[in-house]
Amino acid sequence: MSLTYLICRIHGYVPKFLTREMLLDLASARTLREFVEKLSRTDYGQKLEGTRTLREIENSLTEVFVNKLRAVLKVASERTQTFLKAYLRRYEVQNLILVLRMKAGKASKEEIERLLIPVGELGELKLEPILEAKSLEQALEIIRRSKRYLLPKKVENILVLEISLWKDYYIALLKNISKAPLQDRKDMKKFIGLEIDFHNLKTCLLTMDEAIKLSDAEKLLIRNPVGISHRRLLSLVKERAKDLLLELSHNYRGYLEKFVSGELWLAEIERYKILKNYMDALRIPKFINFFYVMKYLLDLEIEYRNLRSIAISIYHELPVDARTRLLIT
Amino acid sequence: MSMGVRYTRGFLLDLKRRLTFVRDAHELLEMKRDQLVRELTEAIEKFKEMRKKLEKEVEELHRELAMVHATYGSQEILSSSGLLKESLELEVIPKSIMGVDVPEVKIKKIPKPEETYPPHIFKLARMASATIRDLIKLAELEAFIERIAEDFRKTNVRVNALEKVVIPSYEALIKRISDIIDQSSLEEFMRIKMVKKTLAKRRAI
Repeated sequence: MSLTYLICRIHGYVPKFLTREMLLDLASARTLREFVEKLSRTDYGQKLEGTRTLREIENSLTEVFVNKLRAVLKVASERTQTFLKAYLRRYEVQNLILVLRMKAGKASKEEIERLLIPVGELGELKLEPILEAKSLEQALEIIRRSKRYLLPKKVENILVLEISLWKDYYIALLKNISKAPLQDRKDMKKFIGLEIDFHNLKTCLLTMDEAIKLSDAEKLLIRNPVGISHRRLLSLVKERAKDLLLELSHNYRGYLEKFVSGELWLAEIERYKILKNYMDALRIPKFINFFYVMKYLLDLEIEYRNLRSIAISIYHELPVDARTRLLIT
Repeated sequence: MSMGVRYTRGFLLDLKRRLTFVRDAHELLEMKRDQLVRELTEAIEKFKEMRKKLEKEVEELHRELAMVHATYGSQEILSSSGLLKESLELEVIPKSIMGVDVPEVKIKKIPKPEETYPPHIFKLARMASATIRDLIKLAELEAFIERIAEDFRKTNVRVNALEKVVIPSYEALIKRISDIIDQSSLEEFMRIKMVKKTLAKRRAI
């Protein structure tokens, strides 16, 4: 299928996004039941039928989200599919992190399975043998053997493993950028560069906070061809110059300030907002480009996160202003 | 009070000795009661303060949990919850305050969240850890207040019993015995006087 067909289909999907008003209306729901009732009037209706508990709602939202991703992959040409698959492997990485964390916590296979994102063909690694591994070391060995992820040989810290998985993911994504249409490569590179910058900044801050050893950080930082220089980051980490890191880039200041103040959840929201702003700024000039597909994928993830955060904040009976603060709009 | 009352001087002296002892005991118990009240008042004040602080802490913890949960989803929270390998170890040592056994809780081992959790969960874990510490302190103080209050109630009952029942009954008994002894001494005196008078009359004849 051609790229034009994919873009046309995406233009067909975009009006189905929930508007800001709809999200605010959902955020004002008093109970999860009211939330489900309101959301049932939209495209989510069928999947949400019969859901009552928070876990059920979360699972249904994840299912709808993954199905929407699959629908995009189905209509993509073989070449773009390769790039899209490389991009969508982020959900496989999330699953792997989940599995490794729970293996470290000695959770059973059933317990882990209950929490996984049903990625299916969106991932490349077979999760079954990893799930059946009797220990964390055995699970790591299986992942290493796949040669998709170059995990460190000696693992002292789960956090290093998690960052290492993301590093391998971003490196693979950068390699696959040649599979993206030529006219979009530069913008795609910039977009991935933004994500890599966030990855690197997080690694730096965690090293400065001594959550990661300096020797590990040196290996975990990614050389970003379109972002903050690897050498500069490394020198700042060595000097533990948090203040200089904050001054490094105006674009990331909001994210960094929130991270440094310890409000990592706010930093995460800020990260998505920065990514969304970058995509939204190019929405009109890239209206009939592959870039628009990528924007759709990010918007899909943001909508999924927004709905999930509304459901959870209703569950915790957070005030409406706190719920809206959690929204990425 | 059953104590086989005998209307003799010896018994009266014994009773007076006992009354002095009871009065001393009453005084001591009163002092203990006052001290317990002081301890209790101080502890209740501290408890109120701690509870207020803890309520605020729990509120903040819940808010942080809600925010982290809402931002990262249940998967992140649930997958991280099993990472804690160490468990909390406590030791409860009995401590005596004015003869009252109160528990003293010592935290032997508390898991360190910074070595375990992913960074976004870390702050939440650290807050939860601090809240648990304060909860333990509050539980210790609550147990202290309960034990002291129970002992205060018992001491108060004893003080009241001594003040309103035991001491007055001893005093009444002492008075009765003294009266009876006085009366019998007077009778004896009168009898001797009469005998002397009669004997003197007989001699005169």
